[in-house]
Amino acid sequence: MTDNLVGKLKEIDIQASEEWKTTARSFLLSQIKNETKIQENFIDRIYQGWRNFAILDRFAWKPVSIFVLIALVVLGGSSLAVAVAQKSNPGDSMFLVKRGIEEIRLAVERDNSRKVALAGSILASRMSELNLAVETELIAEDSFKKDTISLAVSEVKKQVQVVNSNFNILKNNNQENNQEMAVAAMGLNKKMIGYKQELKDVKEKVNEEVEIEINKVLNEVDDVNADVLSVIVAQRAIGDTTIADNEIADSLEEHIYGIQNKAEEVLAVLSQEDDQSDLVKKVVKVKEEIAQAGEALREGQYSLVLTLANNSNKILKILYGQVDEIIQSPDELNTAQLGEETDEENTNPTSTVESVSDGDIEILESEESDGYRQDEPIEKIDAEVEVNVSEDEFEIGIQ
Amino acid sequence: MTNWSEKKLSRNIARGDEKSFARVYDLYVNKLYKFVFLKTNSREAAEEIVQDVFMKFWKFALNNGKDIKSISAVLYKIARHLVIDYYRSSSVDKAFFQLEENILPDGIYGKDIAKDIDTEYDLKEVEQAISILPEQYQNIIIMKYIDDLTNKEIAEALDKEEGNIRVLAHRALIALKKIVLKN
Repeated sequence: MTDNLVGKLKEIDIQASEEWKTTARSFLLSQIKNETKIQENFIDRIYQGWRNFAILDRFAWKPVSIFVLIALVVLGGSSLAVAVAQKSNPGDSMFLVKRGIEEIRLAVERDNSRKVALAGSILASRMSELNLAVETELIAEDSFKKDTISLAVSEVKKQVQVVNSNFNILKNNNQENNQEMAVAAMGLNKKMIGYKQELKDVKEKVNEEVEIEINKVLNEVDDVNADVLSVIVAQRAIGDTTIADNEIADSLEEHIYGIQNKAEEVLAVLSQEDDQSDLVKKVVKVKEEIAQAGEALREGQYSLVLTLANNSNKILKILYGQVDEIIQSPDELNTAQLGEETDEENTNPTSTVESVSDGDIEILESEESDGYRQDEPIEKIDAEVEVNVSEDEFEIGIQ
Repeated sequence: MTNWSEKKLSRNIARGDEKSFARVYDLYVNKLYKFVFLKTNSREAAEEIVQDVFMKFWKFALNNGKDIKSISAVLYKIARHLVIDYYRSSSVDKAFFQLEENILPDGIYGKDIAKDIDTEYDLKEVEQAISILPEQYQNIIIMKYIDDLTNKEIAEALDKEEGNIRVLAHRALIALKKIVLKN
């Protein structure tokens, strides 16, 4: 009964133009020349041989064997070996060597500003590897290792933390050259905005488990951004005009827009669940604060924008933990608890929140790295996170 | 293409052989262009996406660490995902994502369809109908009836069992017919 239709389908004759086909062919052939394949097998065999030789590899010898291999590669190794390591991805045997080389490069760099730039470019590599892992899994025919994406996400997270800690070192040790720091901060801010978008794109393509991991990385990225923006805003408050006013405004707008989206996401999940009215109220409150931040941005009160945004972000991060729990085990959710503290969360460097008023920079240190404590009831957190805003002076306090 | 030549091409590409890549391009560029054009209804998008498909195929082949079993399956998989990305990242009306596969009411095999055996179809209308089919049906219609892929190749490209393809193709055809007749 569908013979006529099948016949008609066969008649569909859509052709690309010959001109385009020829141009695209030449273009592709010129592009693939840059993607030269390096024969990994040979080097992999050497590395495997080394691993087999080190019988105690699984124990204390492993770091030593990797160190020696890196030393060989760095000091006397062939350029081929370096190139192979550079081409490796999370999950590959040579990836440890690649990481080792990067760590050595970071360790020997003495200039704090260049260290931040280097950590940022390593983060760019991690992001490329993550994108490649996602694409590969989407295309993979059968036996692709499903944990490669998780590994790549975890490597991105580690590198974001490295960027964060290096930026904090720069911030703490570079008081004399604040302009240089502001420029580094602005560069980092732009990169972070790009990575956030890439991570969001990746989120669309992965399973829920990886999505939750990516949410954690996004939170880390937000932390770096909050730090970076605090430096930029503080510089502006003391009259530094290295960064144009509209650039600062754009970055802050992007920052609060991101937080607003996060609030919408949390609200969307909570609205599908029963008995979440307390949490919904918190999100609504966050949205109100974000609206205030928007107002402050229009009035050019950048410090206030940052304070309100960071405060909202902290509350959202707590709620995000709750949402992840809802996704993972809706029946076990206890609204009075904020989830278990993980080891990963404990490893973060201490964050600082800067409050700027009339040119004075006041740094209030929070006890917790992420600014949120997942082991405490929400009511307690609520009582402790307060934003006091007056016309000329305000401060955020996690006392 | 025979299994043997496909294996050889795949192995050569994994070793970075540009001539083999060019051969794959010549073999599949028209089919992929048709596949993407029917899904996007845009020449510019089709050109951009097809070019991207081949670039990603090359990178995948180099990094896969083993020979590709079915070149067509990998190419169509990449194309499918790029079309999804295209709709996701642009403001283009994504009608076909909104259409559910339950567009077929009960009794799809009934008289409404059967009485149209002798219907004369307009080619343009058929093309338009394809563009608003649910994505899965769209893939099968284009791959099976327009690009002439085997059920095995389609199954590999869509991550489905080969046995399901026949059933899905039948359903897809009826869904297409229903849309054409409605118009």
